[in-house]
Formats: sequence, structure tokens, C-alpha cells
Amino acid sequence: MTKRANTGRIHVLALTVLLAACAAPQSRAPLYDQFGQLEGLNAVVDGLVDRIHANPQIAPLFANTDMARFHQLLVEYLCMTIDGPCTYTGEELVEVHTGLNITEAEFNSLVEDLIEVMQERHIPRAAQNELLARLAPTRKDVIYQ
Amino acid sequence: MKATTVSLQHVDCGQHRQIPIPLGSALACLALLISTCGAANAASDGRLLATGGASQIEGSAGGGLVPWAVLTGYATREQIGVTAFATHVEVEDFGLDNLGVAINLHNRVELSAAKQRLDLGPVADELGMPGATLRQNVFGIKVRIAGDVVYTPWPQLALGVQYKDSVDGTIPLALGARDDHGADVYLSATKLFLGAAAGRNLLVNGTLRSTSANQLGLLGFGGPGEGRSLQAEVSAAILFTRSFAAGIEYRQKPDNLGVAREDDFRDVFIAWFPNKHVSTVLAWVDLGSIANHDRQRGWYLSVQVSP
Repeated sequence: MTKRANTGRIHVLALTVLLAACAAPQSRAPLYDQFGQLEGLNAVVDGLVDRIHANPQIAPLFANTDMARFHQLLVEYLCMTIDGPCTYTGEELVEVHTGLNITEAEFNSLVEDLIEVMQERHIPRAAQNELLARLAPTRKDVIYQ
Repeated sequence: MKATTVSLQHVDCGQHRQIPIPLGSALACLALLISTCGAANAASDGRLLATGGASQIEGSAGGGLVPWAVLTGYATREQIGVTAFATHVEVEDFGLDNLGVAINLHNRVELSAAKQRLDLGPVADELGMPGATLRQNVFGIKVRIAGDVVYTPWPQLALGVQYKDSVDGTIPLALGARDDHGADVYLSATKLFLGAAAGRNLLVNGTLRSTSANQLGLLGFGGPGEGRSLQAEVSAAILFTRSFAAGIEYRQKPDNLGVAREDDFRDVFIAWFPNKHVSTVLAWVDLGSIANHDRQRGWYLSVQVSP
């Protein structure tokens, strides 16, 4: 086996993996439906709020938060993010988080809570990852503000 | 925590020769840091599961054979984290043991120290030195230049150096290597594409390495008329769940020694991250030809722990 033949074979393998990734079926149900529409989103946010209260790392950040309003706005925001028929009526993310000085670790702790809730609610993994992919770019507006 | 220290000591004691002082001190120092940090600063778990990668074969955070741009463990910019690893590679005619520790300072700088021991197997007999091993120490530094592997639209970028020093350069120099020590400099770009692989998360890494190392440096550095060259390394992995990943790696290598051909390395791996304190990588590796023994294929098992 020559070195060049080895190289060729591994390239084919890599290409196969990448093509398999690109060929992912795009014809799934709309994201909003995969989350169970508003009812499903409400359940996710219910679960998340419970976890926030139970999470000593991030609970203090919500000490002065009106949790009913937080619940409503988060549902709106997530609904809008997954192409649902909602309008987010809250302020810009930067304004909401200014002064809280949320750290990377605190942000990730909330993300972990969110992932666990979605898992618990049996949201399909691809839908979970799609939501996370859409939320990821917002981190810069949330941390260290 | 106790287990880490015990296993380090255990492996050290199992070796026939004394631990070289510099690495011994470095290991002891870092082991001390591990226990200190473990006791005093429990918070070094701020990043998401699996984003610290594993410990690659020379002790830097990465996959199995390739260093990635991620820094070891789970420390964020407020935190300091430490990890220790042990890796065994068993191929047709050789065995390679790797042991090391690393510290992540604020997710900006990673310092690592590792020792590698290649059991020469039949080559030792051919050389008339039954039981001979080739050993080297690797000191690594990696600096995250930009980006975050998960959150930024561009990849995480890191620049690293692996300084490698043979414990006894006699055999490498006899084989025609120019030097018994050398430094690899590498630039890595790593990005996690959320949901990109049929809805699963896809990690892609590319590393460009400037090196003169023969077989990682275990056979010395450079050769007759051959010196430093640029080599490409790639990794791709799919995270099937938060804690299970599978992927492939390819590591291009120089071919400096006239007396023995050197091939590129490649592997297929599965990784398991049960929690932020332990990770395990199991791989099938193809190391090609080593010291004129062709088709060196076999298994790779690596365990990383942190407090």
C-alpha cells in the first residue's frame, strides 16, 4: 500500500462523511410543529423556569425578574426564532441584559438547562440543534453586558 | 482526584528508568496544581460538554492524533482547569504509552506536559537491544487567538507549540536524524456546526503544522538533507448525542529519514463524555510504516480525567 493510495482512501472516507452530512433530509415538519407549537413551547419554558429556580449558579440572576413576564417574553422569542406566528414584544437582548454582567459559564449553564428540558420534552434532537444554532449568535448580546 | 495521582505514580513506578528531572518536576507541579485547583477552585466547568475535546497523543487538547483549537477541560475566562490523561496505542509490532497533564488558564492559554514511550518490539531485537524503548518528553503551549468553537460564526483559532526532547537520542541520531530535540509549531481552526450532520452536531478541525519530527519526534528530528516542513492534519466528528461522538482523523507526516519510510497517520474514533470529569476515546489507528515495519495498525485507548 503506497502512501498516496492511503491518502486517497481517507479522502474518500472524509468526503462520504461530509456528503452524508450535506444530504441530510431537509423535508422535516416545520420547526415550530416539531416543538409542539405554542403548547409545546410553553411546556419547555415551564420546565426551564423550574430549572432556573433550582440552579444555584443562575437563580440569583433572576432575583429581580418578573418571572411571569419573563415566561411570556421567552415563549414569544423562542416562537419567533423557530418561525412560529408570534411577535417578540420585549426589548433588544442587549438592553435586557445590560448591567447583569452574565458570564460565559452562567450562559452555558442556562443552555445546559434548556437542552435538558428539550430532551425531557422529547423534542427531536435535530430540532433542538436547529434552535441552538439559531440562538448561538445571540450570545454576544447577552454575556458581559 | 486521588485516582489521578495514584495512576500517575503507578505508571511512573512501572518504568525501568528514572523519570527525567524536568518532566518529572513539571508533572509533579501540574499534579499539585490539579489537587490545589480541585480543592480551592471547584468551578472549572463553565463550558459545554465535549467542547474541551480529548487529550491528543502529544498531550494537547484535541482528538486522538491531531491537536484542535479548543483548550483542555471546561474552564471559561473566569476559570482555571486542569486535566490528566493516559493513552495506550497498540499496533502490530509496537506499543506506545503516553501520559501527561495540562492546565487551562482562563480558556486563553493551555500548558501541557507529556511523556511518550515507544516500545520498540522486534526492532529492539534487530538492533541487538532487546527491550529497548524510545522516550521523549513533550511540553506544549497553546494560545486561543480568536473565536469560540460553538458560538462564533468563524472557527475557534489557536496557535500552539509542542517542544519535544528525546530522553536518549542515541538511536534517533544513529538512524540519521539531525537532532534529538525539536519544536512543532501549529495553527488550528476548529468549529462545531450545530445540527449540520443530518441534524446532529458536526465538528470540523484543520491543523497546519510546521515540524521536523520523525514519527512524532520519537525517531528524532530532521534527516539527511531534510528539515522542517509544513504538514496538514484534519479531523471530522459527529456528535450523535451530547456525550457520544464518532469521527475520523488524518495526520500528514514528513518523511525525513533515509533509512526508513514514514507514512501519514489516520484513525477512526468513538469518544464518550459521560460528564465533565472523564472522557474516553477508543480508536482504530493506521500508523503506516514505522522503522521499516509496514502496516502498523491497531488500537488506541485514551482516558482523560479532571477534578
